[in-house]
Amino acid sequence: MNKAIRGINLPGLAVMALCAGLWELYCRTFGSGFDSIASTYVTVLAIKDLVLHGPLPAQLAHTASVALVGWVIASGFGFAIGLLLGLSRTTWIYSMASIEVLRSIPSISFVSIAVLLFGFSAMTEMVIVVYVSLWPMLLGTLSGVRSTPGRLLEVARVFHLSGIATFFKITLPAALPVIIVGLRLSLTLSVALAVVAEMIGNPAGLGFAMVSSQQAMQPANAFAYLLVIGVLGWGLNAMFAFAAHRLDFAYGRPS
Amino acid sequence: MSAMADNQSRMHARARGESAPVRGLLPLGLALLLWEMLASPNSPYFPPPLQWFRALEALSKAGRLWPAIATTLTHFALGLLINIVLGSALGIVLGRSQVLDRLLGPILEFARTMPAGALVPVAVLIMGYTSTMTLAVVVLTSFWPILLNTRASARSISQDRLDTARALHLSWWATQCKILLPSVVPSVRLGTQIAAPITLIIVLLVEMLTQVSGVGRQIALAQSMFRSASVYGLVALTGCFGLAVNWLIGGLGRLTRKYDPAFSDGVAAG
Repeated sequence: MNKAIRGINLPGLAVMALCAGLWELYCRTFGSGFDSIASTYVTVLAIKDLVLHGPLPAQLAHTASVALVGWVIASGFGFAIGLLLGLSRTTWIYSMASIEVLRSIPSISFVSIAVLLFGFSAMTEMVIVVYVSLWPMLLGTLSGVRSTPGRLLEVARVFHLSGIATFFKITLPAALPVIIVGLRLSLTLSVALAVVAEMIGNPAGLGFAMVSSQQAMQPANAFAYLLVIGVLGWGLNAMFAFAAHRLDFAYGRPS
Repeated sequence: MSAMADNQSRMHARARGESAPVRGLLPLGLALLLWEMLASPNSPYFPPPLQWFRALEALSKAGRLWPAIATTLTHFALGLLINIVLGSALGIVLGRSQVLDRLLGPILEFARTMPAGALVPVAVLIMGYTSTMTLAVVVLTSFWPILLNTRASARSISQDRLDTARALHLSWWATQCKILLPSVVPSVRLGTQIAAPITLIIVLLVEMLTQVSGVGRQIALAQSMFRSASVYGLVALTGCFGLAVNWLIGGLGRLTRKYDPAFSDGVAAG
């Protein structure tokens, strides 16, 4: 318990509070003439209002669930494809260059193709989230599997482990740290792309709400949504870091 | 014995991250060829590849393609430059000062996880539809790999090097220039390699969301008018940008790698 309290970075949080205070001060003095910015106080009021009487909980649930479901699907596909490319050298030789070309296309460009194909729909949002967050997981799994130390594989050969046993006892545990990095990057991307997809392709959720507040010149709401989206991204990241830490312990690698 | 040596050299090649053989382009080429032969030229969803080029040609004749490309590449180059300067400077400061690192830690941690798209509406409210706004969003969301890598290496500069500086009575400024900067160069480069593709993506993202200028705007426009061939053509064009960026930073890596025995590959962000 004591350790948990000491783990909290109080001076850092104080700086955060100071920044919020300075912004409030700026809005009340020099910035008071601009009606396109919202002070800290007004933003907090807007969040309270949106939570109690507004649509924010439902929008938050929509964005979070799309991001999480998309992340799980993308991780599954990414893991499978990464394994296939990592374990079968022939597949790797005859497809890796194609994959590298596809990967070079900035993922954001595909948003417009998805809108073209699926219209403004939940399908568009899901396709975008899955496509984009597929890549880190695919590459993480691939590089993890391919960089299994040769000595470990020799151990497997000495012990006459079967292919499946080698995979589960040697390759997978050795690749796990890189795979976890891939999972984490995928999660960050899935949240980011869910928001972007809602701004461009699917009129629902936090992203759409934020754009409409901006276009309706409601800065308080736009600032409020920005904060909520930030907390969502940060929260999912923190939850994942915690889970990954536990997983590492399970494998006897306390970090 | 030779099989084992062969195995080992293969291991080494794997560890170095060998480049994929060109044969691997086969599936992509085949898919594009089939697409060209099977799709009808007027398909609203899957226009064949040759139509993409005709669409790009039409855009170029209308005088909208080259200005857009120039704008996008300018945004990208400026953004990356600011990323490198700001990221490495902040990284060195935070890596060398534990107090500052602790003070700014939480706010940076929060800002780092902020999804790029979410910043755009608020940035538009504060700065309006300007190039400054584009650059601000780009830098705020894509300089993190450089910052984090530089911070890590500035933290772990070996005590021997710092002691050397003290033994030679180097001034503070000379210590920064002769000891600190050379020590962080490899990690700045690694950070840049990760940050460059992200920078390109965010530039396009901001252009698509705000529809003010650049290739991103052209994509969004073509999509809203259902000019599918133009959309595919422009997406392929951004793919060429992506390939060029990867090739350039790959060249940068090879160029400077020989000065740096401790080069290590990182996991690049997708």
